[in-house]
Amino acid sequence: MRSRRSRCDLELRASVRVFQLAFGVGVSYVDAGYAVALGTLALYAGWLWQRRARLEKLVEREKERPDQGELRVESDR
Amino acid sequence: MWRDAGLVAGKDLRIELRSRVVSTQVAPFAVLVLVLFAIALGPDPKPLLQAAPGLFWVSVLFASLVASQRSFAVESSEGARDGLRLWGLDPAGVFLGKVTALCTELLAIGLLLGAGIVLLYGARIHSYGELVVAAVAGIVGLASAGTLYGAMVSGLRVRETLLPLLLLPVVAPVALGGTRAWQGALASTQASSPGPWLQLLIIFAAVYLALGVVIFGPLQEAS
Amino acid sequence: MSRRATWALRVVGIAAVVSVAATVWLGLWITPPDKVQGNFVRLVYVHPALAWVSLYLAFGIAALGSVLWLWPRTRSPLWDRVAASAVEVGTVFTGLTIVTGSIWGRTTWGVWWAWDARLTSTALLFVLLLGYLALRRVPADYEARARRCAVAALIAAIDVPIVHFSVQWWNTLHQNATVLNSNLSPTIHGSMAWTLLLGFVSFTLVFVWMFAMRLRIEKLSDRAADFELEDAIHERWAEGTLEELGEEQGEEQKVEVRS
Repeated sequence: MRSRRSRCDLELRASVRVFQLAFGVGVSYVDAGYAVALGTLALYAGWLWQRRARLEKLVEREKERPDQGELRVESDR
Repeated sequence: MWRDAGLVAGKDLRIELRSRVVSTQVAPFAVLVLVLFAIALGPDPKPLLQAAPGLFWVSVLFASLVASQRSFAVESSEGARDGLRLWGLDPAGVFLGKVTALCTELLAIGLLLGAGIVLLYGARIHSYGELVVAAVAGIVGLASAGTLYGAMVSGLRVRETLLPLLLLPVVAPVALGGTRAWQGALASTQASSPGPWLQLLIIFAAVYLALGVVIFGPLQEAS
Repeated sequence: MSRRATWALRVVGIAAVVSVAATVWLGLWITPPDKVQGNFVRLVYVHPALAWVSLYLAFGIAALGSVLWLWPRTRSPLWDRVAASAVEVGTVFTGLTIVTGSIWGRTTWGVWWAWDARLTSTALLFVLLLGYLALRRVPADYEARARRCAVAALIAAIDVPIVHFSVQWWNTLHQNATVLNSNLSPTIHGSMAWTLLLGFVSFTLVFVWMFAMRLRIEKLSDRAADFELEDAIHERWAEGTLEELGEEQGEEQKVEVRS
């Protein structure tokens, strides 16, 4: 019944004023929503990546040190 | 368990009677909250009257925060907590004892605040029964949650800032149910049947009492 | 981390990125606007998926991990790590749920917020998660910290349903819900339904990737703390032995630490 339209098509329908009004405000809200969600997730993912890289380097360095006698801390962790 | 509860409750209440911290510091604080709300909401008595039940319960919540802190502050001196454990008291009994003591203190404050909203906000009481049941059930719930969280943060240096953040969201249902129940019981506020809200308060109190009895012991082991 | 685990994580990560990109493309361009909500409906591909991940997936895992840690028979450091990781990632998702929901509400209801059951309990959940994170940062030995956090998570798990139902009650009694019908879901069919499903799948993949990363980070940071402890102990020993030897052999001595 309703043909599929892409956003680009709708932008061209300048004749539909109400739609354009809602469109003008609506899209920016929707875009903002997507941007905030994806942006935050991307930033968090980057932070996780950086933390892991730092810790792996730290642990590798520690493992490579010569064994200092029998003491090996192995807590319940 | 009951005997231990009685011992701990008696100890806490005796400490309170001698030090009078709750009566001289926490109670005035609670009344102060009522006064501040009145200042914030304006001299016109109508909004105050509308909000009276809610303001009562928010004040009780803040008072419970401070009182919970106090309940565990008395344990922190001179290895009192270790002493408590060495005595071999049943941890569930210790929990119930502390809840009882806290409850008594909060009920006294609740009475004071109830008088406060009648005098300061011009509230008029419609049915005492529902009021009392709601107050008791709500305060039992508050005391249980407060004791549980108080125990959790008692050893920490950041306890003053952490306890509000942890406790207040958890006791939000008490604020909700209590306010609705009191709205029904006070005249000249929009009344909704308080029945289901009383049920909510009672269920909340029962759940947190049970939870505390089970979990207080394991919680004490670590801190 | 084993080779297979690393490879699996990489696959999940790539799948997550690809599916999110596909969701965005479909959601913002290909799918049609709704009859009632117009273009505002496009947020349905994002918001409910975030809500599902944060409330059911992340919080559920955190609660489960906490219970398993508290139960003596199943206690293991793994569950503590699982709970902590789920809470941290869940907090991010819950915050985003609230923000995207608020934006969607602004466009369809005209208000940034409403006190209905779902919004109120989500806001409360967010604060409870922040409380957990604050509790986690308090310096303490591993066991005490794990215990405290597990109890906090358990209490939160019990409390959120209570809050949800009581607020729902509150709203039905006051007839607010009919004015601001919190059910934002429009009638979904066709390409919209597929995109919705894709949205759920993609954000779940994102969560899985983030959760696995966070779990790994937790394990590594525990390991790093162990190393620090070892170093501190060795330094202490070295001090003791140096004092003895220093008298005989002068300062510049390489100390052999014997256990």
